[in-house]
Amino acid sequence: MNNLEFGCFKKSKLSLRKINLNILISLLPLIIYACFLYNVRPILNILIAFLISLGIDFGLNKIFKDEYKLSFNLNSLILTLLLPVKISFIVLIGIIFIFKISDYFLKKYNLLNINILVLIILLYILLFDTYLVQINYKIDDLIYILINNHTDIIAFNCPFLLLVSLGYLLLTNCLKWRITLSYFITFLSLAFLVNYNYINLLNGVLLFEAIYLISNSETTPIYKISQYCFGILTAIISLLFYKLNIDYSSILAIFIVCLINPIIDRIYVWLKTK
Amino acid sequence: MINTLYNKEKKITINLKLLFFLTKKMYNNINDLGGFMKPNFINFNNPETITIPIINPNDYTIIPKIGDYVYKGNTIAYNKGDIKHYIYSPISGKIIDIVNKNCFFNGISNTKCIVIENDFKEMVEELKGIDKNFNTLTKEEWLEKLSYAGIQDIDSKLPIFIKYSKNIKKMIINTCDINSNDILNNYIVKNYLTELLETIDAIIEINKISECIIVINKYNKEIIKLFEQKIGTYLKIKLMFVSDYYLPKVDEETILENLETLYYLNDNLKYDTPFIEKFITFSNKENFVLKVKLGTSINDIFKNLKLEYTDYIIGNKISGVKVNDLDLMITQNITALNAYNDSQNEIFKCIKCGKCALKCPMNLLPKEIIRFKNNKEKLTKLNIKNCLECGLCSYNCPCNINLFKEIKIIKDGMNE
Repeated sequence: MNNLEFGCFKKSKLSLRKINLNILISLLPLIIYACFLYNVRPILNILIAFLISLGIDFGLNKIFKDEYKLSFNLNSLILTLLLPVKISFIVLIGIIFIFKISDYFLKKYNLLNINILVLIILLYILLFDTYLVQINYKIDDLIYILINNHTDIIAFNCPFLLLVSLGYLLLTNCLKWRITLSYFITFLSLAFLVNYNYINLLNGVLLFEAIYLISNSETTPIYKISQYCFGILTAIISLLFYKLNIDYSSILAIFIVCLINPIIDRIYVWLKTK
Repeated sequence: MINTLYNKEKKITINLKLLFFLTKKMYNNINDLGGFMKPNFINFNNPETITIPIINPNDYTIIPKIGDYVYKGNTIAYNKGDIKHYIYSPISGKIIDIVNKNCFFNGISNTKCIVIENDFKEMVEELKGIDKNFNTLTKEEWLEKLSYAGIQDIDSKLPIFIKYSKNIKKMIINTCDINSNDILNNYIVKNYLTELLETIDAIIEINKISECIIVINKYNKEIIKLFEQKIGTYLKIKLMFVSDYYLPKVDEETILENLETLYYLNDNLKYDTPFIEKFITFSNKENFVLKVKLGTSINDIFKNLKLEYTDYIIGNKISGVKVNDLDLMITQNITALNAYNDSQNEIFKCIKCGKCALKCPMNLLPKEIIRFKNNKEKLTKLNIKNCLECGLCSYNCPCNINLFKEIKIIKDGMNE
């Protein structure tokens, strides 16, 4: 009886390929807007990242004789969007190289709770320390910030377009929205405790983190309640780091909570089966 | 200028007409569940041979021997134990063999089978008339009649009279449960609604049932309309509309029934015919409802429909079982056949999206069930017994991981 093949012979429309495609579509407005601001340079960066990641994928699969699958790696695209536009090509190639190799080995040895994307960004900050230009916003700038944030990083340039992307991802059901929602709500409701400047919420950093970094499916919990806990915990740790004057508090918080994400799931299952 | 304006106006009217047409078509399609409800009907009652499997042959006594002639409806085997169960010949003809063959009964098993050659005469030993006063039967008389019917309950796989032998106060006819066959239900309602209501009424009278609820999908407007037209005089029968599926809480005084069994019960009550013919649905590009004799070879059905398939699915495309043995025969637990075109079933690693747990109608944790597959205590706490075997976990997995297969094997292992 065990030799028989049981379901599933029919699949829902939501496949891994479709999720990736939807994330790519959601990023397109940002890329197009970046082209409007910086001409061809963003496209050049993306192309280089794409070709390098493809080459490394191919090479690694040849060396370790794995089955080669031609797939567009979205994480390398997101990484390119998170780096400054005018980054030198050698640094870009180096970062993508490190990212791809570590990503390959992490997946091969099942160390999926390490959010490699965030780790690489943290490494970049440590090495170059030129990640974000701090701008002191005024209340009058509010709408202007939403349209053009004047950072050199494509991902944070236009928070308004990020909101559009968020809407698209929610509509296509390609986002772990529980994490994004709980992160936002906790952040908004507790930010006053650490004297957080609420205008900074609109500068795109928090939005991009909440949409693309924090809700990365592989490094986040599986179950509903643990997803809410994950979002709340990330927001609390992020605000704690902010209070302790640690730079890049939210990215660091995401990295730490991603590391412990399986524990959150395990606790939930343990409580359910107690 | 006037011409351009006129043309523009004309274009708008044409577009509006198109929009109206599309909306109407869409509305009709929603009503029809995407054209799902208009199946063709094929009565396939002339197979060359019939193979009747005897599950647990040690418990049954086989009456005829090789070379004997049997009439249509003759008893060919009966249960030796306390529970009466009779197996009847669906055709008239000669017994040509009693051999071991593969048959489908919760998986494929090899069992003793009686092979009958059809003489295409449909000879019956004694002719029976229509019993018009069937709702005046007492419960004991009806149970006695049912014990000879040979009908099995679809869920418990026990003879149907056992289900009705208890004291019943409530009856739920669920057309929206996880095993319900929508194509067949719609076909039966469209063609035999009067008979169905008569049977339900008779069962209510015989068993002195105080309440009967028919659960229908609220989007199935056509069926609701048919029921509402004819239900007027049956005061004890009530309709209940649900959006998707319905899992009733069943106590000792409640019984669950389905439309297919009710049709067979109607046949038995009215014409006193034993259970020898069965409805199944067949789907490839189109949907058919087939009425076939029990024991008909699947190969014969495929030949009759002029189809050339070697692989097919028994059950639905989400939770069914893939089989490539054309020699299998129609047994009572086969409700649907799906011709199967092999699609790529790539297995990626889990991306931890959580859709399996999110979409599970019983709020189970499929990934954890697989993680604790060797820990019976944990599996019990994870409520694996509540699994409906609907297959939604596999259906919704974006990485094409066949969770259903793993869970079914673990669940079957727990039951053994």
